[in-house]
Amino acid sequence: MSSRNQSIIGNLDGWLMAGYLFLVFFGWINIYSSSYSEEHSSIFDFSAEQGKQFIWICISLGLGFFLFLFDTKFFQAFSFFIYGAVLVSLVLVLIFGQTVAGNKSWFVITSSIKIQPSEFAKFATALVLARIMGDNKFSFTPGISSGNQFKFLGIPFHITKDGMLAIILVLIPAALILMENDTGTTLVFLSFFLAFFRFGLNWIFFITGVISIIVFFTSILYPVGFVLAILALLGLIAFGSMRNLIGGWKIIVLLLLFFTGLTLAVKPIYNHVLKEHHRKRIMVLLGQEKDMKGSGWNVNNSKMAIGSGGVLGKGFLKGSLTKLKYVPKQHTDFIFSTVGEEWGFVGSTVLILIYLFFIMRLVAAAERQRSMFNKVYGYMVACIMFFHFFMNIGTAVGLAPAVGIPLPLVSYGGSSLMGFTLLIWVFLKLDSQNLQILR
Amino acid sequence: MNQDSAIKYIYYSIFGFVALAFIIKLFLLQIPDNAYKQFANMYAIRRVVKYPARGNILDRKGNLMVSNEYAYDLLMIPAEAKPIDTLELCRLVDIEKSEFIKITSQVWARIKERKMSKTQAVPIAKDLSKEYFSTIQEKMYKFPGYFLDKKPLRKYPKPIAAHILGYVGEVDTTITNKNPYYQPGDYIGISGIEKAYEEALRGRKGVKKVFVDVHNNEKGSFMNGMYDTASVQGENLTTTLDMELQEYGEILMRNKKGAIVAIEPKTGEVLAMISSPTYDPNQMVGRNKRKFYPGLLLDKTKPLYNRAIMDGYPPGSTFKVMEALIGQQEGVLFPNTVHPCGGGYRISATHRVGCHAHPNADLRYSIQTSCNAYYCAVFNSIVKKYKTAREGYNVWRNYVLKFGFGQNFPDSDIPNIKKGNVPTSDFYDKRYGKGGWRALTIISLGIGQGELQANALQIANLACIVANRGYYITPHVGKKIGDRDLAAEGHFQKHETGIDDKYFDIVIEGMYGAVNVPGGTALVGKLNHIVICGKTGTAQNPHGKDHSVFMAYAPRENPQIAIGILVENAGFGATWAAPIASLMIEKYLTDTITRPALEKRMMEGNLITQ
Repeated sequence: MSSRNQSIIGNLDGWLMAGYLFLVFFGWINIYSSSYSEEHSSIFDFSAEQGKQFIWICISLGLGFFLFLFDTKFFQAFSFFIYGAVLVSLVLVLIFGQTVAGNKSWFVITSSIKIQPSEFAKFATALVLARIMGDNKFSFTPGISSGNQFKFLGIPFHITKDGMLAIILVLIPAALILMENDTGTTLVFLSFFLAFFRFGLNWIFFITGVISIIVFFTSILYPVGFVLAILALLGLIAFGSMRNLIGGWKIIVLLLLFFTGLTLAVKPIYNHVLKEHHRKRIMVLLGQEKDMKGSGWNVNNSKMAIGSGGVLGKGFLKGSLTKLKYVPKQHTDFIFSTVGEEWGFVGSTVLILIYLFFIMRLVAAAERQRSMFNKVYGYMVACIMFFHFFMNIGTAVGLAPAVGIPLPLVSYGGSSLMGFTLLIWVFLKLDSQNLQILR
Repeated sequence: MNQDSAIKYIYYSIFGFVALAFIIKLFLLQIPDNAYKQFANMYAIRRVVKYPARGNILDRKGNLMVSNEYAYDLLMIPAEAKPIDTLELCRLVDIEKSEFIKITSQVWARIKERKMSKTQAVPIAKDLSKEYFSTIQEKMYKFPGYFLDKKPLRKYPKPIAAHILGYVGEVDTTITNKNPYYQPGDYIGISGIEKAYEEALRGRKGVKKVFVDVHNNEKGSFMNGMYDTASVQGENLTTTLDMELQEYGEILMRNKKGAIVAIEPKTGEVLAMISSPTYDPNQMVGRNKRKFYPGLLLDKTKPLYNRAIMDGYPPGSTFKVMEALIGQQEGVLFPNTVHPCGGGYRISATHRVGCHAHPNADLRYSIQTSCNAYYCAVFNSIVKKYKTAREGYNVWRNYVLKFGFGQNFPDSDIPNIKKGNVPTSDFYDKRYGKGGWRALTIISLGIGQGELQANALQIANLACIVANRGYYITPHVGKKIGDRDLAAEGHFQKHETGIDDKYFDIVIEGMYGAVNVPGGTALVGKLNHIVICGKTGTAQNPHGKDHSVFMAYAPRENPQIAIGILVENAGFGATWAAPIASLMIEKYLTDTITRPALEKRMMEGNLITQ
């Protein structure tokens, strides 16, 4: 066994490695296509996006191989330190950072080099969660000896104190990023909850989250009284038939109070906390408004570019709408519209399937891990990738609200590429030494 | 397999479900009868910029001064241009064949160097008038890849006010680099009012996305105009100018070099700004510009130059009015102060400032007769009040700046006003050495000569200050943008000079005397039915005959117009400047001229060819 462990490369997951390289390379040529112009006609033109992305790719690969030099114990031991450092940088960016496109989330080093610490916060949070959830004693569900159970107002919840700690560790960076005005990246932190269910977070949290989202949107559209009446009805049903399943009448009352408070708060939040462009987006998403000049504009242009691609696409560098710079942010958040136009239905479907395969492969690799730390970390990576995939392509084809997050590894952007390289390559490293861990 | 790891299949199904949803959505977008795709392939989608017509410019009474007229550019799209009968096309648009070949070969060279795109339209002939358009349009089918593009050009119903109106021209790269609104080929106000009110006048260009065929004919708007941005019409600008007065002044100044500025004292509104010689503003538009501009540029009389605000002349004796006010405010001059004048002011044993003999002149009489010796003495006493000449001079200079001299009215809307010159004490320190100068060294400043430089606007503004008894409103030419009143919005400020009201009585009395009392220097300007207060001046000119200067306001009670005028090489202020100002005042206030003989003499006077 020990002879096999000598070589990292030999133990690398070839499929994940190949997937990573394919996505990065495919992203690069699409960035080239969407940034192509007569003045910047070379893929190695370092004054244009395609050239800069090439440099970022080289740096990221260098970073990836550098990560292989570390012992796996390093990531475990330094997880709190890395998490703390990222939190500090998130605070600093609020003070010293610069606002780019409305988000105060950038450290500007030179005019062409900007760093976005929130892209690294996902990695740091994933590490620190793996650290505490990787502990043998960790559990989300209170055991029989429920000294560890989280209680609120004396009411026992379906979660342990450790579990609450995990949730809080997610919420801290999310809140800081929300303060940067970067709603998209904040929402990405929801992906950690998706991973939590694998490790025993009670489904009631999931249901609560879904109902909260439904309550939020319905309260905007319908009178408060109507929403409260529906909630009361649901409460009665829950009380009558699912009391034991949910965990007693106290929990039901607490949930009802929570939803009532949320219902009453929605209108004030919507009118006073959210900005005009947020309201516009919500209205467009709910189909209440057709805003072709403002927030609906990007999405519509993107759909048109994709639609014009047809079955086989117009071919590499031949997308006329791409050339006309029809879709704003076409090399970043809307890179998929270039794929759709130039590679057509066939090419886009292949990209989606490769993405699907990559994410499923991450989950499969996470499942085979012997160490809980590795397993938790693998799931986190998979869920973050999935959330980005879902929101980004969903926006481009008009199935998800436009929150503006990149397509991992494919979109233009150094911070994003390096952030995902860290996430993925650390997992590759952990996975490569999986067999050294004795069961 | 335990139950825990079975959960991964739940994750697989969530991921798979989302991927499937995406693929179905893509299918719906990309496969069925696809309107987008047909549009994108059959036609070119062209981004057409819609230029709104520039706003009109009106005078204070609402008469049209500047409007628009359409002209046409002949454009070529290299990718679509086929071999054509070049000679016929050249004849139609009135260009030389050699020029056509030069333009097209340059275009192809640039395309080869990949500096421009083949599909980008390039102008072959510009600014064709409507007459060309009708003959060319019916033959356009012979010239595939060529098309005509319509655009508005400036038109001036009356050929007046060229300098203050300014002109419109194509942007250059210094502008396009600085301001992303402008693209090469766009028009922008280059000078005068066109420059000052560029943003209001130009409106906002719109972008329209249209389908076009190979002849660049529009085949309808793209997606029902969903992506178009509407162009916003430029706003009309009402100016403070009085067209009739402006035209009358230009006629009076024909064949003379110089400038007139007329201002309404209580508002600071410029009624007329004349710079002579002038040119027909229509000559700076479109094809005319190429024809006339070089000639105007090379003309020795500099017709493109706005003498009213850009030239500096010594203000001459008009300065004495201000001198009298500063002296009183400083407490060194009183209405009954007498300075002996035996025909000059002695500076040293060998030097004296010349003057006619005004024995025992008091303050009023000194203004009426413009006594040089008196004002040398006043200047001397102001400066000598302080310990050092430097200190005294700085006090005096401060007053002068407050009167608007040596500055360019930063809150005015008139572009490119020159400051003129009121030297600093440092300047004299440098010239004479520290402490090496006294009031007597620079005594000629006291009578508006020496290093002093002022323009007609500043001299008219001095007349305003006297008419207002102590303040002026920044002189300006903009009155209303659309219906918005610019003065009411507080664009133009009131400036106090720091001279008390009471000191004006005697000065005004003197200016009244200069025009109305026998022995006054400007008696030639006297009007029987309007009381004019004025002051003559003569600006010494080392290069030739002196310049004639005059400033005035009228009527004495409730003044309506203040005027500053400079006529180059016209000698004493009373010979040309005062009569012209008097005629202008009469025209503005009564709209009739009671002295046709004087009017005729002024109009026909020719001071350029002499």
